[in-house]
Amino acid sequence: MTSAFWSATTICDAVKAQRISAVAVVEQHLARIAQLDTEINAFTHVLSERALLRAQKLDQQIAKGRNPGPLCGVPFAVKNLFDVKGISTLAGAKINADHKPADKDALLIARMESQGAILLGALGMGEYAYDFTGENCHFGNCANPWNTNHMTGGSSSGSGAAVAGGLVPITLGSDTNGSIRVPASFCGIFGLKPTYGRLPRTGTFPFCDSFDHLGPMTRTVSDLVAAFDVLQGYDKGDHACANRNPLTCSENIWNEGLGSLRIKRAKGFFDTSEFPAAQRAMDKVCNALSISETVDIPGAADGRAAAYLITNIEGSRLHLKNLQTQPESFDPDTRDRFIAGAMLPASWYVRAQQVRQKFRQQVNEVFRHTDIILVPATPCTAPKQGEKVLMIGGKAQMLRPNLGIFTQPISAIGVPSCVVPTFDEELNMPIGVQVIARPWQEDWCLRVAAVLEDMGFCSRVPERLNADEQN
Amino acid sequence: MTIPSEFDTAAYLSQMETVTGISVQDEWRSAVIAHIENATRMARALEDVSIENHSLDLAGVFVAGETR
Repeated sequence: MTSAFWSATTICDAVKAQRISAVAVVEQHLARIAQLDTEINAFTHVLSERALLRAQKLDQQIAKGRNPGPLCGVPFAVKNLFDVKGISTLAGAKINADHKPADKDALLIARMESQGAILLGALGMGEYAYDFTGENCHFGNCANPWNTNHMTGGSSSGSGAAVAGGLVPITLGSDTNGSIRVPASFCGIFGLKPTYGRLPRTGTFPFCDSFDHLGPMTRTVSDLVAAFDVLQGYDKGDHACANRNPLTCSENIWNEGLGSLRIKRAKGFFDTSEFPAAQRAMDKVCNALSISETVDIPGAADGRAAAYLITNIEGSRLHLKNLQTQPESFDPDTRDRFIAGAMLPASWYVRAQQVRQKFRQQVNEVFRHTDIILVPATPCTAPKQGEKVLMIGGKAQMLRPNLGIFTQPISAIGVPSCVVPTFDEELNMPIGVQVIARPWQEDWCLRVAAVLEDMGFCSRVPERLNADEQN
Repeated sequence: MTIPSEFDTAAYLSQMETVTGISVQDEWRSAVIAHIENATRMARALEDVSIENHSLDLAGVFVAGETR
């Protein structure tokens, strides 16, 4: 019996019922990482000793009749911008390798483990999270489990690949402009970017403070819900964390279906007519839900431009000292963007913040008559590694900044978004669709995701890995 | 603020190297210029957005969904 590709909820039920031990689950996942990760390159640190010790303790608790929680025995891993006690928080950067090891785990790791989960390791990412590709010159590119010649998407590249490859059922990532949603789309899994301020970022390395979100990535909606419920709760360690009551999605979303949710398909800026794979994905989802009504999101292009500049300038300021003293230590692809950002006029930044505020008000108006907006997650399926160009509007544009063209406007105003996977038969690769709700209604996103999963929009096992499973 | 259509990005970059204390090596220069030009396109688009002249209504760190 192998627990690879089991959902977290299946693992939890089996461990609690003592059909399999937590130690066996960990050993199987460690073996799978050892077998596959030389090719996928999702992990930068594998914490075998820590994980096995924790699994032994969980098995002892269960033998004594205790219930460790809803994630009992579930292996998980985190993007390496989360502090993990005893290792340096890399944030994808060689520069950070010299930092002193973290003296404690990030808060969200502690919350996962307090409910029975087992941390297996830290995952690769684009340098300082300024990336949509999954490429990293320091630690190697992360490879897409569907086709290792293709990108995973980024910057939560390892988080996407580890889940899609069956290395762990749950990962935690971060999303500033799309860094959970782009890899979720390219790797064919579910990913939740909650409302800005919902999950505390305490103990994580920042990128752009007013855009940074954390969130879970999984192969099933039930796992997404289980993780999200455990992760919520106010913490004063993050100045942007909102002091709100947590949602209890695991109790509430399953029986409601779509109910009276007013669901519309985004048009205008989010039109997909020049992106065939994204168009097919949107058509499939909208047809399945019988959605014919469309909605324009006014100001989306402006909101995206504002997000681009704010990210460029805030992120560059964070790294200014290193740009001055050791620019050659950066990944060239991020260094050149950071340098550009460090040189932009302050008045552009102020203007971008004004436009962002206006865009937020425009979207709030849309949500007066709309509950859910369906939006493509990415303009295409995962490009081949090394590609540099994306065609937009008939013009060749830089690929790296533009893979997030459909995610960037959404995080600019902090609304929640859940990526649901679809599969493109023509290209034999996955591509996601965003389910977006008004602020603080992650439960609505998850309700729609659950309905779609029931309809067959689920995370598939990549064929090449499925064959491994059979052998 | 109007951004001139004949914006000389290379000259701007050279000047800003001094201002920011960042030394740009020759082999990086074309990529940095491309990124500044991309940012300039974004900034131009933002200048076209209709916002009251005397408004300084910034987003900053905000409570999402709050409408004032």
